[in-house]
Amino acid sequence: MDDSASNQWENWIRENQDKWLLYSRQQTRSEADAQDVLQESILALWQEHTQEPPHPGAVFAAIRFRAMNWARGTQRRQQRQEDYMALVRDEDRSLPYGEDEQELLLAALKTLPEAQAETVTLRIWGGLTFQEIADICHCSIHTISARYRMALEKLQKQLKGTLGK
Amino acid sequence: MNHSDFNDDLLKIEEQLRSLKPAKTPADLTQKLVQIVKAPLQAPRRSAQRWQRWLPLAAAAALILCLGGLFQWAPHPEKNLESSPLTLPSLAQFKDQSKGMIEISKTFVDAYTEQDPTLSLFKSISKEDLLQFAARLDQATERAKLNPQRLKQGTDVALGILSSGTPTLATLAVAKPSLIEMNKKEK
Repeated sequence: MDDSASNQWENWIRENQDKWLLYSRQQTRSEADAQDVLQESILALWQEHTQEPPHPGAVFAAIRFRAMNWARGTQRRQQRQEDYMALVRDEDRSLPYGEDEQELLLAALKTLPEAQAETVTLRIWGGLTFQEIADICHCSIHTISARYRMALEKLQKQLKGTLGK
Repeated sequence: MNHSDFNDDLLKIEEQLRSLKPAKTPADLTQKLVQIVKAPLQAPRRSAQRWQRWLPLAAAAALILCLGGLFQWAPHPEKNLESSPLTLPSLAQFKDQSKGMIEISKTFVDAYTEQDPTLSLFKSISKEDLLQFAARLDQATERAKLNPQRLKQGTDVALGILSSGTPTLATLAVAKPSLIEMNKKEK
């Protein structure tokens, strides 16, 4: 691999690693597992693609696949760590609510069923289309869009009267 | 899903979610990820992995071919015994090695046989015999080389002695007449 391709891969990692790690944290049960799964996924994709890095969505699919095998292989069924929804305020965006509301939003996100939280994560922070999410989750696009809508409605219900006043 | 399906509240929630972003990846993990894609020669590519899967089989096949070839074409030592002369160490070399062995045996007889039961074999060796043997070695003179057939017979007798257990002076004495007999027949 020449230097330009190597730099391309490095930039690709630096641009996308945060959202991959967020998703990996959701799919695993601990920070150590999340990091291991992410490393394995990157290694596998790097070995499969000779020159150009693949679409970032491929990493989500790889993470999902490996996280499932990881959980099966190690029989890890321990309690999920509390900080799996590791989100922070985006300083580049104007905050439509205060810090207390931000905490409420994070708490509400953690109450979502796993499938809905996964869909929201891949859609909002992964930047994927519904079709791409459907491919990763092996579901129909209708299922995915319904999950997304249900998740937002659930968040809206929990946060009604607290956000965006 | 069209945004027209969303009411304003859902759009607001979506906007608020977008005001969050994933936490920063720890620097050490970034370093590890970058290292993965920066070390092309160390990590096996897919094509290399494919080859590696077959390497043990290829090595085994090559080994079998080599062994088969050797068995087929390499000269068999027994067949060549009659046609090519075997070489023995010179008398001087034999004397040197024998004297070395005698010295070691004397040391065993002197020091170790009483200490270690596994060395009790050396109890049957008399120190005087060893000294006599050493003296006779000095008197030995070079004789004509044995012919291969004679050498093979001698080797068979020696192997017979060895196969019956660790040779002692007693077993060698029993074997001696057969060796003398062979010498006589040859003459």
